[in-house]
This record gives sequence, C-alpha cells and structure tokens, in this order.
Amino acid sequence: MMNEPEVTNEHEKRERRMVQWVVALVLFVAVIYAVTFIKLPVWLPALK
Amino acid sequence: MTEAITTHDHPPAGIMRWLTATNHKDLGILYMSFGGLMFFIGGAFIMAVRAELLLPGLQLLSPGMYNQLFTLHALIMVFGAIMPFATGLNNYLIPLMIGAPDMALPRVNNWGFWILPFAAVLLLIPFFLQFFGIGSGASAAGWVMHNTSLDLQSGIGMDFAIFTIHLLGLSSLTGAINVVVTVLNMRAPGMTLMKMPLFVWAWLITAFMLILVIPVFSAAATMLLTDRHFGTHFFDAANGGDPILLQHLIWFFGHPEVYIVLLPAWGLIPHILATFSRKPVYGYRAQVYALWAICFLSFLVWSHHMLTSGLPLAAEVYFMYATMAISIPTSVLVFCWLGAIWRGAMTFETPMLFALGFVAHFGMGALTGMILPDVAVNAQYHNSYVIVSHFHYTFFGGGIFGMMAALYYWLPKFTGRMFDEKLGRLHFWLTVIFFNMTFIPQWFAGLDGMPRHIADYALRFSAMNFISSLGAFLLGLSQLLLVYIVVKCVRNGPKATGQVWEGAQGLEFTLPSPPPYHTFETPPLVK
Amino acid sequence: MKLIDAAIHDESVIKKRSIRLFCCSRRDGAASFRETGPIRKQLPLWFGMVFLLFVSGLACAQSIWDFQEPVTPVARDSITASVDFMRIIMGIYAAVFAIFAYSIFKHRKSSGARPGAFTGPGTKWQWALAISPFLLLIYIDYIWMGIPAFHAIAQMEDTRTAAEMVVKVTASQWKWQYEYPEENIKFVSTIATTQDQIHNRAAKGEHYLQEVDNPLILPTNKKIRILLTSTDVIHSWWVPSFGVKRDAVPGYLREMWVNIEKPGIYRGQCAQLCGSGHAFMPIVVEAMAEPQFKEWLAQKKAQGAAAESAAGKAWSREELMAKGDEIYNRICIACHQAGGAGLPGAFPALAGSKIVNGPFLDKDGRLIKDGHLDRVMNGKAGTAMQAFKNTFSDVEIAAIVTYERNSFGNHMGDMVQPAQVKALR
Repeated sequence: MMNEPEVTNEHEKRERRMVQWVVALVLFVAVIYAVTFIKLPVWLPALK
Repeated sequence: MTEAITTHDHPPAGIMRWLTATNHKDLGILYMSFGGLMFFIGGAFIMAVRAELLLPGLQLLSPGMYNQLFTLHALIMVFGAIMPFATGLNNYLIPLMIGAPDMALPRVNNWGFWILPFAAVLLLIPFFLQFFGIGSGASAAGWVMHNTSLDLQSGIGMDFAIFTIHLLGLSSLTGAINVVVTVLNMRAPGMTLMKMPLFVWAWLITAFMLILVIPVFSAAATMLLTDRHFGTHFFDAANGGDPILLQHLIWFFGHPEVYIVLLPAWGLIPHILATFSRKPVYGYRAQVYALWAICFLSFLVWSHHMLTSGLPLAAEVYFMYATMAISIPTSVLVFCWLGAIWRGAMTFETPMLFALGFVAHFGMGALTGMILPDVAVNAQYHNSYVIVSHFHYTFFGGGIFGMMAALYYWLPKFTGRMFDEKLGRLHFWLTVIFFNMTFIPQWFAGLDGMPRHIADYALRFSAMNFISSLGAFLLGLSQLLLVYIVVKCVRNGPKATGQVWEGAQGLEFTLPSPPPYHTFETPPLVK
Repeated sequence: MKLIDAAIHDESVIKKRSIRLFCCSRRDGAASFRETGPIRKQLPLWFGMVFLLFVSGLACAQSIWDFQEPVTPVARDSITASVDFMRIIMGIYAAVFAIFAYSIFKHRKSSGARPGAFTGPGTKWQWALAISPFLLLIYIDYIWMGIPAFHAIAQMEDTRTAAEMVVKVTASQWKWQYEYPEENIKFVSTIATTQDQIHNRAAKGEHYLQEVDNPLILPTNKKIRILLTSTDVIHSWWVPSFGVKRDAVPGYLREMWVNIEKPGIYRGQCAQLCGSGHAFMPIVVEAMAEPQFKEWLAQKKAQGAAAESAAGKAWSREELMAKGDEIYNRICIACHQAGGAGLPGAFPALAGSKIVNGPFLDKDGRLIKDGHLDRVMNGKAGTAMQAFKNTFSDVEIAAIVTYERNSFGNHMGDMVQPAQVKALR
C-alpha cells in the first residue's frame, strides 16, 4: 500500500506526463499543417 | 462547493446533462446517436440518387442536384456516420477496457463532440438555401474534391464544405489526441500495452493516423480556400498552379482515411469472434503488428487513386507494388479471424452474424482491392462503377457491418437490456441480401464501361442499374428495422446480465449492465 | 423491355469468358452465405441470389459480364490480366471461405463442439499454414501477376516508339476538341442526344448518351499517339474497347497511344467528374482502314476551305438565326437552359441579360471587355463559360451571338458577321 504523499506524487507525475503528451501532439499537428504549405508544393512536383 | 459536488456525482437533469457532458459514457452515447442519425440522413440522400438511376433519362433530379447529393452522401457517411460512431465506441469502451475512470481530457472531449452538429449543419445549409434561391447549392465536387479546377469554379457550397472540413478535422484531432493520451497514461496497473484489448490497440493506431493526416487535409482545404478567395495560385492551372498537387495532398489524407474507417472495425471483430466461439483471441501479437504494418503502408500508397492522371512510369510501378504489399498484413488479419473461430464452440447470435458477414464482405472488398493497383488494368477500372462496388464492399461490408456487429454486441451493455434476437437476425439477413443485390450489379456495370458520378447512363447499363436501385431501396428500408430494434430494446427489452454473452471477456463485462455512471474510480488490478 | 432490347443489340463479347465470369460471381455469392447457420436460415439469401442471377441473366446481353470487346493490344492484355486476376481472387475466396464454412458447420456449440484454448499456431504444420498466405500473396503480387503487370505498364506508357501519327484531344466542359496537327484539321465533338430524349419527352435511340455530332476518325493498324489537355477542369478520355483512360489536365499535356486492330465504331465517355454536364460528354471513335481514312482527310480539308470562304461572305440575318438556333440547342442549352432562362445561382439567364442586351463593340470597332461578343469569344475566367473562339468557327460565333441578341425576348435587332469575328480573333 502506498502512503499519502506518494499517491499525490504519482498523480502529479501522471498529470505532467499527460500535459507533455498533449503539447507534443498539438505541436506535431501544427508542424505538419505548416509543412504542407511550405514544403510540399516544392517536393511533390517532382512526382509529376 | 455543493454545486460542484452534485455535478460530479450525478449528471444534471434534462438537456443540460448532454450539453455539458464530460462523462465518457454520456459522450459515447452522444457520438453514437449522432453517427446513427447521420447514417439515415446520408442514406436518404443516396436513395434519391438511386431513384434517379433506376431508369435511363433524367426523371427526378437535375445533374447539378445529382452531383450535390452523392457528394453529401459520401461526406456524411464517412465523416458524419462511420467516424463518429467509431469515436462513440472508443469513448464508451476504452476507459472501461483499460480500467480508467474516464478519458484523459473530458472537457476537450465535450468540445470535440459539440463541434460535430455545427459542422453537419454548416455542410447542409447551402443545400437547403438553394431552395430559397440563395447560392448554387452544396458542394458538388465529390467527397475528396479531387477535380481541382472544378472546386475553384464551384459556388458557396464549396466554401461551406471547406469550413466543415476544418471543423471536422478539429473534432477528429481532439478525439485522437484524447485517445493517445488516455491509452498511454491512464491504463490500470498491470494493463501493459501488450495486454490491451485489440480494439484499444486499433484505436490507438487510428488516432496516430488521424494526427498525421488530418493536418494535411486541413492544410489542403485552407490552400483551396485561399486559392478561391485570396489570390494564391497553389492549384490554379490558369495561373501556373498545379491541379495535381491538390490530388496528391488529398489522397495522402484520403488513403489513410480508408484505414481510419476500417481499423476500429478490425479491432472489434476479434472480440466478437472470440466471444461467440468461446475461445481466447487468436494471434494477438500478429494482429497488433499487422495493424501497425497497415498503418505504415497506408502512408506510402496514396497515388494508386491517381493512376490515370499521368504519373511518370517509375511512380506508377512503385505505387502498384507498394499497394499490393498491403494485401500481406491484411491476410494476417483474415488468418487470425479464421483462427479465432477454428475449433471453437460457436453460437450465432446477431453480433456474431454481423461479424461473420463482415469477414465475408470485407474479404470481397480486400480481394478486389488486390486487382485494382495493376496499372494497366486499372485504366479500365478507374473511376468506373467497379470502384464504386469495390469501396462499398470495404466501407459498408467492412465499416458498417463492423459497426453493426459492435452495436449489437455492446448494446445490452450500454442499455442494460437485451434486444430482440429474432428481429436482429432478420435485420442481418435483409442487410446481406440487399447489400449484395445493390453492389454486385454495380461491379458488372463498371466492367462494362459505366463511369461513376454520372446522372444518366447509356442503355447498355440499364438492367444492372435497375437491379442495383431496387436493391438500394430495399437495403435502405431494411435499415429502418434497426431503429425499431434499438428503440424496442431501450424501452422494454428484458434485463441483461453484467456478463451479457456467455463467452464474453474483458473488463467491461466485469461491470453490471448498464455500468454505473462512474466506473473504475479505484483502478482494477489486471493480472 | 425496350431498354433491354437495346442492351442486347450492343457489341457482343467472347461468349466463353462471359459465362466463366458469370459462374465466378455465383460462386462468390455462394461462399458468402455458407458461413452461417443451418440451411433453414440460408433460404432468404438463396432466394436473393437466385432472383438476382435470374433477373440479370435474363435481362442482359452476355457482353455485360466483362469488359467491352478489346480492339487494341493494350486492351487485349488488360482483359486477359483482369480475367486471370479475377480467377485468382475467386479461387482464394472460395478456398478461404470453404475453410470458414467447414469451421462453421463443424465447430458449433449445438453440435457439441468443445472450444480449444490455443491462441496461435502450435505445431510446425500450423506455422507452415500461417506462413503460407504470405508466400502465396508475395508470389501472386510480385511474380505471377506482378511481372506481366510491369511489362504491360511499360508497353502502355511507351507512347513514342514507332508512333506513326499524332492526335491532340482538348477537353472542355462538356465537349471534346480533336486536332490532327500534321493535317491542320480541328473540330469539336459534342453529344448528339437531344434534351428531349434526356428528359424522356422523345424516344431514346440505340446509342443514347453515347452518340456525337462529329466522331473522331482514326485509321486502323497504325500506332496513334494521343496528346491530351484541358481548357478548364480535369476530364478523362476513356474508350473501354481501347483499354486506355487518361486524365486531361489543364496546364499539362498528357499522352497515351492506341493501335486499333479492327474497323468499327467505338464508344466511351468522360470518366472524371467535371461538373453538371459530366454524364453528357460522350466519345465516339470511328476506326477505318487507311485508304478510307485518307479519303476522309481530303474531304475534311475541302470542308475547311469551304468554311473559310463562307466566313468571307456576308450572311443574312435568317441564315445566322437558323444556324444560331441549331448551335444554341446543341451546346449552350446545357447551361443556359431552354428559352435562355438559365439556372438561378448556377448559370446566368440570357433572356433580359444586361450583357446580351448591351453593346459589344466600342466606337473603334474593338471588343468591349465583358461585352456579349467578348464573353462568347474569350469566356469568363473561373466559370464554366469558356473561350469559345478556341472551339467555334467564325460563322458559328457570329451565328450564336446574333441568335442570342434576337431571341428569348431580347430585341437588339443587330447582327454580327463572320468576317467581323475573324478580324477580332
């Protein structure tokens, strides 16, 4: 059985990890959205 | 304080319960109901299309109206019906399956859902405005809007569709991020990744696919919008833009989208087969790897949707061979489904029937998909009714049959009541018969040279279209039976046990039916 | 039954192949009902399938069970590959679902089966069985069908080697323009089916929606390189008997080739959603032996010279109105509708239109920007209204403008002469 401080600690750690995941995923989305604008028009014509 | 406590313990009464819902079960129900509603709206649109195609000549619709109807049918079915229904299932089931109290981001979850009705209204507004003489109707350029210059010359319907796509994208992204964060952080102790139910795996992979392709789709739509209104020339051939670029962007989204629709179904089928065979899931690891493999390959094959657009030889050869490779991980899934029922003790309740129907019809869709990438032959198949038939075998035979199986399988769990088994079976058989009656003739009409998207056809295609239309009407009618079954189940079905099905396994079946409003507040211990 | 008769009249295809496919379809349906339950429960599906096959078998000519008759090397290759591939997948389907069906019959709870507890292949044999689909599919995809497919693509894409003739196809909403660059011949091909036939006010002909005013004429037994482009949206040129389909993309020149082995009339249509007229953009190709083709070329050239001189003469109002009426009801009507009423929100009305009822030349005799004649000759960017000077002759432009200014309740009273149009090009 875990005692009280450890439980909060565990909770906090998990919360922090979740926030990190959300931020990372949102950034990832933003990067792809931007890259589509900036880079793909340059890369893809090579496929024509 | 008191207020805060009441909203946490009991849902507020009436409409506010649904408007302010952050509970994953409430949101799951909302998503699924929305998906169901859209399924019937999208179905109604295609009934009008099939009525026009019943006989040669224009009887009911103008060609412009016809184009709007099939475009709306496709957008609504893919983005309004199948995807939200699958999202509803994940909302309801993922926390129960991994032993979490709720999704990781409940308020984002609420937001993600409530975007959807607005998006749907936005998509449909121009369609209804045209009857009052405003605008030229809804988007009429096909669901992926792949004919660039046609998009550029369309009326306000296209702008509404572009905004709808952004909103739907936002909704899907919130949902996908929620799934990833929940699955990676909220699993009960002992629930390692490789112990997760396959449905959770399938949704985790789906979520990653969404996160990768939705931004591309949104960006393409934004570029189209700026081309239409703000003087850019990404795609506009008359000003040096590249119409093919839009096709590349949209199919880079569009092909993974097919798997986004199918993966949730692939994930839940093994559960159902295992339950009614009274056996553990067969080939768990193999299926997880196969799903990842399909996810990976789906990003590398988009141009097989554009094999007639004049790609260079090397690209054609590459996309042909890469596409054929998808048949290999798919065969692993089929093998595992076979393994799931082999030497089981099978019974054939409605969910099992739909699961087996899924295997039989998706099998046809997958196998016909093996022929299509052959570039030289694709010249005959591309944009013909062969394609229409093929992708309905995957989307309806795969996606919809899968969702139906899931609905019947978990409905007693959601409602606490059993549905009418006899009617369920009747619904299954009617669906199978009329589904095939609709789409087998379309295959042959396509072989004979009938292109898709046409409002009227040459006489040589009349017999096939006549049969197909009759099948479609009956298929549409028999889906109304589903509404009756669900209503009857919710109203006065006999009480369901927590176990529901004799062979059912998984954490959700350790709870009573329906599960209490809050579950797993203290995480269960998974061995 | 009339429709059905028409279908039977159509080109028939090799009988054997049709029957073979017919059987495949039944087998494949049969497998799909095998998987569930006792015979009693399969009855509805049986009836469904039998009904379907009976009705369709009765109603349709055999030709509709497969591709249309192939008349080029590429088309012959693709029909062979298609039929082979169909047999392979039907074979796989039958094999896999035979196992499913066996399991469903044998491993039922009601027949006292006891469930196994295995979760993966256990013995060597089972592993071999699990690996076999991999090997089989790799063999089919990359060797059996894959290698011929590679050669077929290489053949299909080799448009230049030994090409003996070039034809340029320019698509626009909703017609095709055919050009023989070496002969300096150019004409437009539009649908010949009338609006009355489409709206069920007149009987439909045998080739309803697949008939045109000016078919593309091609010689047989010659490798013809076809260049494709479009003036507005993406279209796709498809004649099933030739086994080729290629998109016509604005801003690009795409290419393909055909070598027609048999004289005859071959029909197809646009295969890319291109707006509201998509269903009404047929392609008709008449293939004839080299001497007849030469004769046709000479005739066409003589016609061209006559049109040239016709543009020089002064036309009377009646002549222009009659010709304009004919062109309007063939082409313009698709958008601007009968009586010039237009479609609100989509296509502007011509009756009472400001542009039609306004001046079209300024005092120096130049085109007024966005005036009536300018619109017809140069089109309106970003809409379905295209630059008709690319596809219409001087006489045609003069006739249509004169007609529109003096019809649908428009009474401008003026007229345009072909010679004026010629000078303004």
